[in-house]
Amino acid sequence: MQDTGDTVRFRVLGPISMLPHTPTAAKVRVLLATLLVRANEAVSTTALIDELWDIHPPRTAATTLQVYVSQLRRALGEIPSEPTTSERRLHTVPPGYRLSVREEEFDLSRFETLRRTGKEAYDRGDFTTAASDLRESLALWTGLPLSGVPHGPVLATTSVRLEELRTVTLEQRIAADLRLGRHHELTGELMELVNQHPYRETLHAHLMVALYRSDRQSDALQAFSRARKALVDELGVEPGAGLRRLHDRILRSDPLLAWQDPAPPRPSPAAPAHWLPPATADFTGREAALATAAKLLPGEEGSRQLLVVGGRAGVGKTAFAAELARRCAGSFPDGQVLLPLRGAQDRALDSAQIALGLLHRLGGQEHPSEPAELPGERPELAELAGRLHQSVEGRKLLIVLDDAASEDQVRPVLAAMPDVFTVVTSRRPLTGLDGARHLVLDVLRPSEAQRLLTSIVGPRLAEDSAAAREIVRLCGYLPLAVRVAGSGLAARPHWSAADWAARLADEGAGLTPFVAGDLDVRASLLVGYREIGPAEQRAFRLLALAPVPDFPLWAAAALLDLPPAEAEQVVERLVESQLLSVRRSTPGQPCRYSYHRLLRTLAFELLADDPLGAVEAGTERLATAYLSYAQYAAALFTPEGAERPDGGGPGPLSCARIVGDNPARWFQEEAAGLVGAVRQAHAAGLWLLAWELTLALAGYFEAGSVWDDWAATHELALSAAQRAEHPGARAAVLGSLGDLAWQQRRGPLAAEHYETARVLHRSAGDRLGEARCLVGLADVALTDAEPGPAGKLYGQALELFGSEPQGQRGRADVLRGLALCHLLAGRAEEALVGFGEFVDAAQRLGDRRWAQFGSRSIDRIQEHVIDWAGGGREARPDAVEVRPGVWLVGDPQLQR
Amino acid sequence: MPGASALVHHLVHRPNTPEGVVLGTTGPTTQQFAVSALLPERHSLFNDGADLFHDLHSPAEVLRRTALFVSHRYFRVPQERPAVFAATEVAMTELEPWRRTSGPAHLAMDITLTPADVVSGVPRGLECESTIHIEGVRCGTANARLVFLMPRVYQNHRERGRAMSRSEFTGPTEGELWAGTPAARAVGRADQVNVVLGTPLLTVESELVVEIVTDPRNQVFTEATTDHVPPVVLVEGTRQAALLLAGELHGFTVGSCVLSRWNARFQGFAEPDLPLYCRATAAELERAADGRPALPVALTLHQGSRQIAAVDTVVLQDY
Repeated sequence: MQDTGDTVRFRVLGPISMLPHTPTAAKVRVLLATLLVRANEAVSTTALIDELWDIHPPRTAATTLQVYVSQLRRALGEIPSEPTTSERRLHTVPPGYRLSVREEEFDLSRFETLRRTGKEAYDRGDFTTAASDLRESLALWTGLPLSGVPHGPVLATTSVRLEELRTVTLEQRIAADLRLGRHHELTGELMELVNQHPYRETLHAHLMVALYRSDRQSDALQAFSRARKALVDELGVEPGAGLRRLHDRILRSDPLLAWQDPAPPRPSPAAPAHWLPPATADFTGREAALATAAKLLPGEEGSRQLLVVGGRAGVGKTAFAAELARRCAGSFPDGQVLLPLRGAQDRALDSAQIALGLLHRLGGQEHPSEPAELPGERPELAELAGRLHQSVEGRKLLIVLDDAASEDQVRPVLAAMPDVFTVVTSRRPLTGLDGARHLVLDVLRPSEAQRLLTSIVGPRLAEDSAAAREIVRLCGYLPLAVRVAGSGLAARPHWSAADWAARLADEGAGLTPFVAGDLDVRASLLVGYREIGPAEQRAFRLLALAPVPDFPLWAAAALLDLPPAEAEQVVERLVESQLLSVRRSTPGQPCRYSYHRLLRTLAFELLADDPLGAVEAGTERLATAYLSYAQYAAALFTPEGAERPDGGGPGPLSCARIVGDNPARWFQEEAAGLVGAVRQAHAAGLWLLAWELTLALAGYFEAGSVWDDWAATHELALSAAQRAEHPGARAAVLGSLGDLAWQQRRGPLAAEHYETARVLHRSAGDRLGEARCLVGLADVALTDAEPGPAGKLYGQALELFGSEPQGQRGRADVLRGLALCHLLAGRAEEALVGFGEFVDAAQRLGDRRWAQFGSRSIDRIQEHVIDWAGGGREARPDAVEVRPGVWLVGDPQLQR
Repeated sequence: MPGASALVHHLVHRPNTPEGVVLGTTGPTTQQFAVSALLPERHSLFNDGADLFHDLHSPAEVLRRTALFVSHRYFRVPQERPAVFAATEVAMTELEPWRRTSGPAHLAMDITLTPADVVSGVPRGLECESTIHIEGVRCGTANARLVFLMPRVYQNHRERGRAMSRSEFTGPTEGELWAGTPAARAVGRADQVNVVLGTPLLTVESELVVEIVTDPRNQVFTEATTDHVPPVVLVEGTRQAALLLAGELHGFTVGSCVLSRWNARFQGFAEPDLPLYCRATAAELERAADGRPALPVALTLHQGSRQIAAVDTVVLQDY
């Protein structure tokens, strides 16, 4: 392929682009594309509005169009405020606008000129000139015409016309090549082309001729059979008369069909090959990774020639590889070629198709040979691999095989070009490729993502950096998602960034907002999902129910209903497929898994199609697991007695193994998951699990003063207890809500909760529950400067706690309250004695937290005891720790 | 009823480590606290004349006391190292939750305290950031920056400052002198004993200059046992000067005004036995996001030849 891109400034034969900068906003690109396909003609405002908004233009369409025109003018380097000059390209010409471009700077104009001269040369029998001009015209193409923008009526019809024109030109160029005796090098290209265009009889005919002239008569006949089968099976028609006549001539070995060589072939060096996607103007970040990759380039003979670039879908592997190829072009003078390894509907190409594609892009070969058939391989692949080997031999090339599905897919191709530096991009780690260096791309850093977004949307984003930060966070810093979100916002100049962020944050919309033109985040993420097995697909969907931000393996095992070892295998396969992430906070600690935000959204979308009851069953399994561990942790954290709870044996999922001996740490690590489990259990109508799990968390919430989660879970638990008509549960939840209200110094509310709970406990005959409520009421009185009534309430509670082992914790708590009564009344000595008794009781109970609190209180009293020697309540400290970590500040007596 | 100590509240520590939960200990790292209280309803100063809105005194005072308490109790700053507030800012972000209703209002503050300049495990400074919620609605912020001085440094600082405070006031003395101390209503109060402004002077540049003088009978201002002018006097003095300026010179109805921002940077301590002057100037009238008239008033506090503090405020007109 000849590089003709030096002077071309405007491109429509592929993704719409413009030098030096292509507009990033999709609507502006649509405007550019429409004006270009009608270059040097006046395009009416009405036609432009139709193209931009189809049949639903906004009320402000005319004004918005002017904004887009203004943006395009800026992109063209024109200053909108200056009067029109002859230097301007974009003219306001009634009834619309005209874009002036010169032929040499516009790929479509050049294509049409070369196509015309090529056809004229062909018609007069100058096949060399025809082949050259037509090849040059086709080299101007960089992809699907007018791609990268949404199509309205003008662009849609033009796109179809251009695609047809390209195919016709290609057919004519091949016809010229056949006339020049290049049938050997045409076979590979033609095989690929008939695959792409199975109903183009002319291409089938060219292939049959090329094969026939390459002494492959039987392959030529098979080519006819395949063509006929495709036409009959898919269209229900027989091949046309021309193809049938050609078939007859091949059957008859018509000598006139054979190649008549007018002169012996002259070897010529292969031209440099350049098949890279257009440079991304806003390529952002990745400098460190590019530098690392550049160091891996081959420097010495025999050094490894393979770099695997991994990372999840949408992370920018293709853009990275293309950028690397572009930056390193100097080291590869014979060309840089990127070949996508997926065809229609994202189906992975097989190795033979890859070899064909490479041969096509590398410009064919001048010395074909007939390689021996290798055992176990298809003849086509063996032959193609041989031809590929010859094609790359001695050439300094950089090949990018983009989006490989597996090692098997690329291994034969890599074996055919051992001395070519090859970059393979893949979502999978491809660890089976011998000697490969691996580079894994992660999502962008927040600042990089924000820079990328700003480069797409433009300076107006700088006015609302908070919204920009939120948008990139909602995109999970995934480059594809940022690009899509940016294009979406750029296309809506009347939307604020905050509005757009709110739209992206709408959980009900799922991934729907993450589509812009032909960029579709959902489609990109789905590719990885479709490649994994059914067990992994099930796991991917179900694990969406796991807590955020991350979850342990045991939670996955519970959700998937699998033994831990099996669950680990499935989860690790999801990690390999880049569908889950894994982290280990500290060495020796178990791994925790997490979804990328958008992958979790996808998983939820897919989960909606699971059979009825699957979500509820998964939720129940997870909440049940959480409950057993939380109850064990609570028994360690806030012990009711000296006896240690049963840890459930030595198994990998035993409570003792999962929680360990540090319940505070376990609660802190699992807090988000526990709260999520309560919400899910309530949403699934699992009332018993909802309130039992909540009560198991109450002690941790109280110790950490986690007010928001405390309130939210308990409101759900209260609702669950009421729906389950379980007064005991209701009383327990109300008691804990009383604790919360007391901590928040909402005395009347706390008293109301405690009193309601006390009555419920009393009617159920639960003496311990009633006693705990009395302690709560006493605490309210104490911190409301009523030590007298408080003391009485503590005394009543003590009686109810009795001397039974189950009342041990309650009795200790009463000792705390009585000691505080002395302290707040200024009786230091009695307070010291009281706290001493409390510390002893806490130690017997095995509650280190309470024992530490009691000891701290004693130390503080002793620090102040000299001040209190004179008696008098004025000497009481201004702040008193009334429960661990809860300080009463100020003198409540003064507030009364 | 006395002042600050009547602001009874619960202060809770939200430990972020297991040892913090169990042992109640903290390292010199960022710690989270929460404060919860009922806003005063019958406070002799905070509720005097403030019929429409709760004012900024309570959260400012709570933050001040919390910062001091935590620095000594949790971050182990020795008691002999005096704390200096370098800056304090309290601002309303939503007005409606501050509006007084018939019942008591619940104040909650989420406070993040970050030690700065840690030497041998003890911070030399503290950054305080908090959000204010009233009846569960987020409606304001309160931030402060503290520095803990070594005793000798503090003494030198005080001595130098006191020497400058003893010199003659260098601010403007020419202008229109008012008839006497402003009426309580003119400064947003109802009880004359709470007025802390002397006789105002209005310069030709429309600058208000007024001495801050507290009534010795007012227990709110005298209960503080510190050796410098208590913070509550500085807050109240600047508040009253800002409201007076807004009412007298810009047509605001002081009875339905509220101070929606109070942002102070301190350069030194005010000596309690020396005259303290406040200078106030208003900027161009603005509109708040909800359309209410908002008058920015910049104030400076002076003693002798030195400036004690610079305070930016915004007076909001309710209607």
